[in-house]
Amino acid sequence: MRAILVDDEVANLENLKILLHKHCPDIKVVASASNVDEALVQVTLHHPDLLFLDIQMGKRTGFDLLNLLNEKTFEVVFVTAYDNYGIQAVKFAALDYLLKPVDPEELKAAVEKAEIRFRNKINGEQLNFLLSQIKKSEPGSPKIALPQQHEIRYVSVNDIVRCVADNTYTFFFLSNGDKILISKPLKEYSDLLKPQGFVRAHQSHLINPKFVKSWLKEDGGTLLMDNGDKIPVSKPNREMVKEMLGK
Amino acid sequence: MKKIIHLLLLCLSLKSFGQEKKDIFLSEANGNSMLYGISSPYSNCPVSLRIDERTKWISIGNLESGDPLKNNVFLGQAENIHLEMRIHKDSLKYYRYSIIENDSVFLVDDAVPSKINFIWNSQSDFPGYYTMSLGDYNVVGKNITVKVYKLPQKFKVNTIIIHNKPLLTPRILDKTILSSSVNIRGLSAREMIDLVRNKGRKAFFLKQLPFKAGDSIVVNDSIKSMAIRMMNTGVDFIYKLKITRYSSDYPEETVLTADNWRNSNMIIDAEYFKKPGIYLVTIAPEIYRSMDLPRGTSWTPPGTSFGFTIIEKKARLFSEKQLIIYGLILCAIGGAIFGATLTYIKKKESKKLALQHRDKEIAKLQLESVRSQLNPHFLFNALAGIQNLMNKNEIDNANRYLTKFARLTRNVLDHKELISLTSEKTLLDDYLQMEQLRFGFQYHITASPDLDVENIEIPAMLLQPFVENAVKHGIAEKGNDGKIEISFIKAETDLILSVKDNGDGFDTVKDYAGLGLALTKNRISLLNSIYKETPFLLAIKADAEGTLIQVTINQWL
Repeated sequence: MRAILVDDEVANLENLKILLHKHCPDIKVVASASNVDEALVQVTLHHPDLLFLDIQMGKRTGFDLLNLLNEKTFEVVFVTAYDNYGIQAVKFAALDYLLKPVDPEELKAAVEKAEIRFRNKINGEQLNFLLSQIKKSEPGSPKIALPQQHEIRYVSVNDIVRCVADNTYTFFFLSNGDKILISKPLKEYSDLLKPQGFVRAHQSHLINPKFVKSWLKEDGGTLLMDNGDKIPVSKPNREMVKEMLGK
Repeated sequence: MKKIIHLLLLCLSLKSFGQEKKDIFLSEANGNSMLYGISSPYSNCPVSLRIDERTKWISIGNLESGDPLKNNVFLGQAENIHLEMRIHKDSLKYYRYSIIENDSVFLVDDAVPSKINFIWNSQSDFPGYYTMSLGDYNVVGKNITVKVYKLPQKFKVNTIIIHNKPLLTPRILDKTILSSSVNIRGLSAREMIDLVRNKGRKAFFLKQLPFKAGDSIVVNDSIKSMAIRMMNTGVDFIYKLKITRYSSDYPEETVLTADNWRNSNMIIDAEYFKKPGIYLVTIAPEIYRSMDLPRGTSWTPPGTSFGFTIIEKKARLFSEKQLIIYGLILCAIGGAIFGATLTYIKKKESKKLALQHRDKEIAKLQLESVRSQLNPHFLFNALAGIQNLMNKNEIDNANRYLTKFARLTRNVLDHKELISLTSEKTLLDDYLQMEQLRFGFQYHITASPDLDVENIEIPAMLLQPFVENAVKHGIAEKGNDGKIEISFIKAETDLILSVKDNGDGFDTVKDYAGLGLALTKNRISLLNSIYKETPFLLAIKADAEGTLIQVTINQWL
């Protein structure tokens, strides 16, 4: 794959180039750019297959670059130094990202995944979803991308009733009755959805309080959901759950 | 030829004679006696001290604020000492000296210096002076007091105490918070009102509230000071009390260093510990030890420490004084406004609930501030380790360790409350592999097979300080024989986290001098104030086989 690297720090560009050369020989770096304008020129000139894109570049962001590009025929791996709001949006879109300093192992994994995605040509859709989410200024409930084997479901957070852990997999229960299996641990979604008001009632249960009907005292504490499901509340979480529901 | 041999023999015998003449006391490189002036600078009786080569260290000048003519000398395990004084030959008869052993036995009582050590000739620095011996003394396990005066100033006694007993480890007898309060016990409502009205501020007295190490203290305006009482060491003035504050706004700050003990008591004004945070109080002797004795290797003063947490409560609706006065007025009016009282109580109840909630929030904040403390010593050593890999051109390894380092730092900065056991294992792996760059040791991290490590969460950075302690105090010196075992165990509904090392162990009875442990104890008590239903228990077992630390989280699963 032909790649372009975008980062406002030259040292980071060099590092990434060296690591790619060493660990990912299939990647050919055709250009690098250190700001949005430069990147725009390089991308339109080279039509790369893969973009390593820094999120924060001075006052502008990698998202600004994507907004300027109408056709997104390339895959993107975001690269960022610290987990800020931007990476949050990337996670909601189920896009791939690397943290600086870049771990060679993670880099290899990211490139492999990008190669698969490039063959299936699904990245453009996710990128557009990401941009639409960022643009959305009204406070309404955001959507989240749930990648399954052959398709990506874009679900409104409001429509998620609860999530259940199954080892490193997570089951999503939606308000329309659908049940989706995603190959990521519950922890990831718990981190993403807790700021949206979700509650980790139990080590294997994450619930949306909007769908809780009542608190049952059986077994020390159980939540009765609107659809009749009963969710156990583990002891360490009881006070916290009661507090959340009281609000 | 014979003559030469004879001459040689003579030289040898002369030399050995010279060596024999050399006494057991230390000398300078040029052969002169090594003398320490031990009188106070305000003294007119210059006493000098010589020490033997068994002496590990010496601290010469330790004046006491009460008596300008008094000085204290501390010796590390000396056996014999020699005392002398340089006196003008015409003044000899005016000097008197006493030597007292352990404050009770007079070895010399008010004597005139009579034994001449050395006569300074007219070409010397002190023509007309004699160096008079005040005697040689065995000081093993003893303190020796020297008292000297010069007639007619019989009242100007110079005192020098030579301490050769080991410095005592300070023992804290009690610690109390002093808060101002009104004694209203046994008084009628009328009397209470009169008391406050007539006496004003004088109606308040200092109430003593004892507290324990690790306690959380809620500060309010009525708290005036803290009193710490230790066992009398005889030389309290060399014991420095230091208070360090750890918090999120300022990671480590020394708020007070003091040595003004009065009868082994120290009163610390509340100003020094009003800000919320974790406080560590350490008491240890602080004396300047002379460096001219290379035998004294590294020295840790025998100290003790304890921690406490200050939680700030938002200003109350009423100050304590106001509350008392309003309360008194309410009492006086009595049942007439029962209804009003009832609403007041209700309000207070809801406020209490709100306060409880806030206490929890505060505890969470406190916890965050304690958590974000990866030892800077570790951080920079880790960076140095990576630098070393770079300089050795081990690029791949440098990359690997750099990523580990980044992951650890990120975890500290992320302020996550809980992390899964899997993530905890990854972080401990990262941490221990970084430490393996510095020390060769082995470690294992295991989990009960029936534990859902992916989804069970524990408070972030809970075990790290213990693991760090195991590396630092347990096995750092053991090299490749060092071993650390970390396990996550499921015991019915309890979760047991344990850290075991095969180091030399430490004394669990003593206060934990290590800051890591003091902070962790505080952390566990904070966790217990948040997770009231599932108490955290800390057990430490240490013996010659090593140290085992267990954190049991009751009914966590």
